[in-house]
Amino acid sequence: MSEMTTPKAPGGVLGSTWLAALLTAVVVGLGVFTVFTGYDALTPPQGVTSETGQVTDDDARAGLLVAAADLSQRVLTYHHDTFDQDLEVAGARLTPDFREEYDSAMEQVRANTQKNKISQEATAVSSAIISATTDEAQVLVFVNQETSSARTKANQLVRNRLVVDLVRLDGQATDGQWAIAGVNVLG
Amino acid sequence: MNLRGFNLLLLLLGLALGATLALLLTRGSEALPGETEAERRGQQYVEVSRAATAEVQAFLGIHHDTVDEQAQTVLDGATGDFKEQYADELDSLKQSAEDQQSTAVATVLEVGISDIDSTTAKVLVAANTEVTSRSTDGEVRTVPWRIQLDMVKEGGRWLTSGLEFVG
Repeated sequence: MSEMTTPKAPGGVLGSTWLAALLTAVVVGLGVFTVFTGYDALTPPQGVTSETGQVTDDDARAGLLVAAADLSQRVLTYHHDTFDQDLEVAGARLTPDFREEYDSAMEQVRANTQKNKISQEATAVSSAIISATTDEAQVLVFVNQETSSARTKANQLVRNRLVVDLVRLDGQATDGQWAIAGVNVLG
Repeated sequence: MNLRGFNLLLLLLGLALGATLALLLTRGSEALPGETEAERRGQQYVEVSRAATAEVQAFLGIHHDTVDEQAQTVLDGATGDFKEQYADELDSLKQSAEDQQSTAVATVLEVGISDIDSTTAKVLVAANTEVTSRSTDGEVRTVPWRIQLDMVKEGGRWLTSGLEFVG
């Protein structure tokens, strides 16, 4: 009677075919992951720090400052005779949540604005970036608000310090534009 | 190379890649040699903001008993025209603080950078002071400030070369 013999896997544990396949898969997997991780670490988006995500590109920062100044002026400027138009202009570049807050606040001043023919003109005199990533930013804006009214002879000037929160819009028509997500008046 | 040798090589390669991966995941790009331009600038923003905060706090804060020490802190963080102007006005500042028994505690609320390159920066600072003096009858009065600083990098430090109040 002949003996049945099964072929022996060569070389013990390290010689196992299954283990070789497993190790190969691990090496390839780790290799791919390492290459991608290293590539990402080495090449953050242009003009952005890899550690904090802060935007350092001069053009991007200049564009953000212009947007923050412009949008702050829109939000704080209104005239009794163009009240609804002014609200539409400002509202177009607000996030939905902040638009609700803004509309609600403006409804509270509507009656008084029209009754006393109030106009408020806001001028952003200086602005500077507190922090800015590619999608979110906080900008310090110094705003002068000059208010005229049928009830007062002299205009009233208020010098404000605002922290404006901005986010990038991702809708089709507004893709890439900054919008205001919040305004905090420093006391 | 036989199968055992090949497996051993794979094992060593796997360990080396695992170690590299762990280093990259825990240390990010710090684990890699050199510093990117963006990282250098990001670090600059931090240094400029810190220097601006310290200078404004020293400039606005005042205590009639310690004017000299505070003035020295301002002068240490100053250069150029601002340093000269401040030094020129120091005697009258000291006299006024003593006469009025003034105390002003400064709080920097926010600092922003409007313009920056490798050696100069323009910075905005929003700050408040809690002021007590003879003219406030001992009451604490909050005074808001809007300040613009011109800063320059000298000897590895960011110093204030210009300070103005934004009207």
